[in-house]
Amino acid sequence: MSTISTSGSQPAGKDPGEIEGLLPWYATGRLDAADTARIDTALLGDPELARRLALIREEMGEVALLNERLPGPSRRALDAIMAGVAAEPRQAPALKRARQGLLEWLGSTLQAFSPRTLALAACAAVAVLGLQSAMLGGLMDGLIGGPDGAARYGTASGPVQGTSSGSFVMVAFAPTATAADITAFLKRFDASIVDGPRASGLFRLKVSGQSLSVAQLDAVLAAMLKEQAIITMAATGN
Amino acid sequence: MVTRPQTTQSTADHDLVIRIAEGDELAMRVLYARHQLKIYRFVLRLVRDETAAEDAISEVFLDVWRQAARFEGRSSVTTWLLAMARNKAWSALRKRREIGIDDGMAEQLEDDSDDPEVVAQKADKGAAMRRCIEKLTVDHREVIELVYYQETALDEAAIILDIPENTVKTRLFHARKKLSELLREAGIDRGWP
Repeated sequence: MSTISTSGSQPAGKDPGEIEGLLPWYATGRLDAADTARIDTALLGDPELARRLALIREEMGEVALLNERLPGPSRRALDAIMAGVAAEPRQAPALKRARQGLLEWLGSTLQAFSPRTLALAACAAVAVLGLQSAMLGGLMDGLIGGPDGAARYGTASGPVQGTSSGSFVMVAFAPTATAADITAFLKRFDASIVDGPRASGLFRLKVSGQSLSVAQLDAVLAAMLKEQAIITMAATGN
Repeated sequence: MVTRPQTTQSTADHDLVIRIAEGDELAMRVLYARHQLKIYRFVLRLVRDETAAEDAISEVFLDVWRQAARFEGRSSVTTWLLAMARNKAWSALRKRREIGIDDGMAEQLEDDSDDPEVVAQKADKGAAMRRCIEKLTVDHREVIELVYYQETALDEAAIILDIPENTVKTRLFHARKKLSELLREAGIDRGWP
């Protein structure tokens, strides 16, 4: 709410009086109830103020007429917008900005550390990565093959299976998927890793010991693709 | 952060902006359909060129697509759109001034006193007032458009024009005084100021 004095119309000076300054918004109905009530009161006892309000309403009418005679934008404007939208990266803007925000935060945070601290942190990170690699290697070793080099494919639920027959798919695991996630995923689909990762980062999974029909294989792929937290793509791999 | 607004109208607009931030193209089309006419007219009243006005609103809505995730909802979506539209309009005007197009437009407005149509219009007070409104400066026209046609509240106009509320009041007051002076010169005395 604006503070309004009880003075109404004043001789036209450099600036409007408090009430007169708000008359245009009174005319458009964009004042709050308290200001509206004050102006209502001022108008009752001030015919000159009422006359000036009439002038404002006259001006409003002519401005509305000027606008209503204007055309709307042509189809070209919307086409340009949607073409621009299509040309933008497919990534959702919110996600993109969240990632940019994270990078900016990371950059500013790292700047706050001394070079010595950063060097120590980097060494620690390398050690953690090495340990993680060893653990994943062990997991893959268990899933793909034994130390004697013999094929030893295993699933979490089934016996050892071969690679020469059956049905296969190719998948890419999400970078954020953990070993536990992948193990549980393989168990859910009664699948095992038979090959990978290839240069493209793809793994070949055996999803059945039988030769599944195209429809059956499509159903398996569709179910896998719903698990986007674990895999980023899936395709037939026979 | 996109926050929830207070009114039904602005709730719908805010929901659209949230969906746009998530990459929803249909929401983009709906927001455009809701606001395109008034935003276009606001720009067109300032730049007086349909192609330039269409270019400006295309840029406004593309900025909506790019910046939706950063919209915090401190003002209404309409206020946000009008503020962006105003900036685009002024950019278009500055470009035009750089290549001297506006000089011709000003002459066109001033040198038509012997146009028979204008002479006839002078007999009509409403037509005369519309003509005088067209002769106002862009600064004065935009505040009049924002308050009278776009019906923005005082605080919204202050955000869009990026000036204090008291300055909005003073600018509108002076725009109206100038309009009365132009009308007086055209032979119409309104008894104010």
